[in-house]
Amino acid sequence: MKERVTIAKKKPRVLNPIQFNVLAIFLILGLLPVAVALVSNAGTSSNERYESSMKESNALNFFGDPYTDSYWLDNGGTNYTSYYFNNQVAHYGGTIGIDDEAYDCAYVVDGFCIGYNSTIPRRQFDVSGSNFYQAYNFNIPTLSVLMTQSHYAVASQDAYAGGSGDDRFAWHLESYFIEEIQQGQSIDGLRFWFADQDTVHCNNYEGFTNITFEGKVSFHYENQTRTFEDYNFQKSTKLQYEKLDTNHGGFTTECAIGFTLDFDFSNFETLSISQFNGNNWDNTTISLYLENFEREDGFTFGGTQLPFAGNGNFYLGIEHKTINPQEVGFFVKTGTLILSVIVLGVGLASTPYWDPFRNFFKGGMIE
Amino acid sequence: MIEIILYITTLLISLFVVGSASDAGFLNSGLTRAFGGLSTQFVSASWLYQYTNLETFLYGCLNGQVGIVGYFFIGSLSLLIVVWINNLFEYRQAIV
Repeated sequence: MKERVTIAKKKPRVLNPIQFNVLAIFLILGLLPVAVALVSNAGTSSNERYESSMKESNALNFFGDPYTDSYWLDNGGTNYTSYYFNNQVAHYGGTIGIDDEAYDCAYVVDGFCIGYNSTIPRRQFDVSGSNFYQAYNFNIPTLSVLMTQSHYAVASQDAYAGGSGDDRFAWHLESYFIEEIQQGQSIDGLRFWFADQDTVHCNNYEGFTNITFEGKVSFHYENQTRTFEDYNFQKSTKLQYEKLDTNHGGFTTECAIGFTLDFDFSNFETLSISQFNGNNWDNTTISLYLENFEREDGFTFGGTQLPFAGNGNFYLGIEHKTINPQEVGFFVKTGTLILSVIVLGVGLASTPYWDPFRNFFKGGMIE
Repeated sequence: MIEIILYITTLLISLFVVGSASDAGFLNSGLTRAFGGLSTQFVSASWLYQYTNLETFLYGCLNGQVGIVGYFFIGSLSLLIVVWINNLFEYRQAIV
């Protein structure tokens, strides 16, 4: 009969103080951001489904409601005024409707039309040809308004220069656009739909391409602004959707130059918005900024088609999703409190006066 | 301000890592220490900025978006960084 002999081994010492320090620092460097991510996204959306933020217009209200505080903030970042002004057809066009104001608004920067005659201090550049808010649900799969593209006013009766720049496109949108966000409701996400009015073939249209750009959204309330930025988008300009065929019944697939953009807010950002405007959406306006456009294929941006660039029209839709602010507040604040206590504990444990870590690793440390 | 604090923190970490490696017999030449330090700071700063929302969260805490516990968190983190800086100067270790 074999006798089993067990040889006692000394527990190996695996960490010297320096190794222990490196390990501890990297654990904190790695774990702290993960913990912050968990805390800031604690609690789930009470409604993951996006719903339209826009007020549907009454079809009987032929003209719609007039815009009073909606305008282009930036229309591409490239000044094509001289092109349009010197263009022979444009001069002729001047006699049939292209006026100084249109030339001036060939270039819009920070809400100012500064292209041609900049003596007028600030002029509201209309967002739609009619300058009336009309939102309907039969154009794209969400409620949308028809807006004029970046160079509609100056180029609608003229040759479009073929590109609007790649720097910044931005809009200021009054509360009509978010009127369906109920008073007192907290939002944790906004989705913007952009679609060129002209549909194209889904399979053999060469204008689709993949692009990258940055976005930010600002909320304005009682002369205060809160901005959420550093959203990086990687998008195809091919927007494909199902549309009800009113003539033949059923749904048809349509494609257009366009995309949807999701601005997901972390939970503490949602709390921040709630604190900022008290969820008083009737008196809140928003600004949307899209900038630094680049093509993924490496070609220069040039005349790359964007849904809002051109001399025609595009559809803009806005959707939102809601969240329970009490639930979010509880998770975020409790989580932050726990994190704070842990970090404070690590801080104290890093002093010579309290050594819980060393005690924890006792036997594994080389003194 | 948050950016500066994060850069200082990652700089301290890289200095500590390079110093520790040097003490342990690695990274003996100035060139390798410089490369090791820069690499460590680049990787740690990139990680914090690009792959986490730590910066946004700290700004949220600083701006009062998380309430009083946000300030408590900033205070705790500041204390931790101050202790580590002190320890690095006093003992050449972050945690003593």
